[in-house]
Amino acid sequence: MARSIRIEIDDKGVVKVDFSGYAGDSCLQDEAKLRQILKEMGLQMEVQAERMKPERFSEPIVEEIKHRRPG
Amino acid sequence: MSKEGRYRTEIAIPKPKTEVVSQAANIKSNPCLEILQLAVEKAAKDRGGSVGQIYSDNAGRKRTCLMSVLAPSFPLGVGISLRADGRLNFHYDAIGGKEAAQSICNDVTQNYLVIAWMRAQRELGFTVQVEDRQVAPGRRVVVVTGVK
Repeated sequence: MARSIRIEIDDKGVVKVDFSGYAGDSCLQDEAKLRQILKEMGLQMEVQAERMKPERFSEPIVEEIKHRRPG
Repeated sequence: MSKEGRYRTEIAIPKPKTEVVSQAANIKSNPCLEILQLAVEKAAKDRGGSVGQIYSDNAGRKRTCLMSVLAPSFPLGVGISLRADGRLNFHYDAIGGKEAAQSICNDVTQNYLVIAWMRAQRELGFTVQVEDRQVAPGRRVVVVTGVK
């Protein structure tokens, strides 16, 4: 599945970020890298709201079920 | 996956490490100033205006600044300078039309954010697309989508 990052930027300087298609915590790694690059570009980001989406847990759960299968 | 968030963003341009020798050299040596210049140029171009280093007040007094946007919708011009902490200061005479001036300020900030996010995503190997949406008269939302 392709990974995508959708950024919505309004005219008040508010940015909505949506990471999709990531497995596990890998989106957090990309997020940290992006934050570092953006900091070097002079952007200071203050969190207004953040939430993890359910897909984050999908792959590890699938793995766990496979693991438990008897035989 | 994965995660979504909403952030309030501020621009704080790091001061150049070397002393300023000229406007062009300063911009070339500081990627943040280069982004700012592109953001200012786009705001001017979208209004059929131009970029300079001067803005005026209603009494005709001219003031110099780092960059300025001169547009038919606000001929006095909006000046931009950097505070000591690197944050942007916008200067304009509100008598010339506060709404038009504020729209230029908002556009410069928004353009800066768009360029920075595009570059950051490209640096991580994403293929980036940009969509400009008019959500209300004089208000726009820009969507930057990166796919890998």
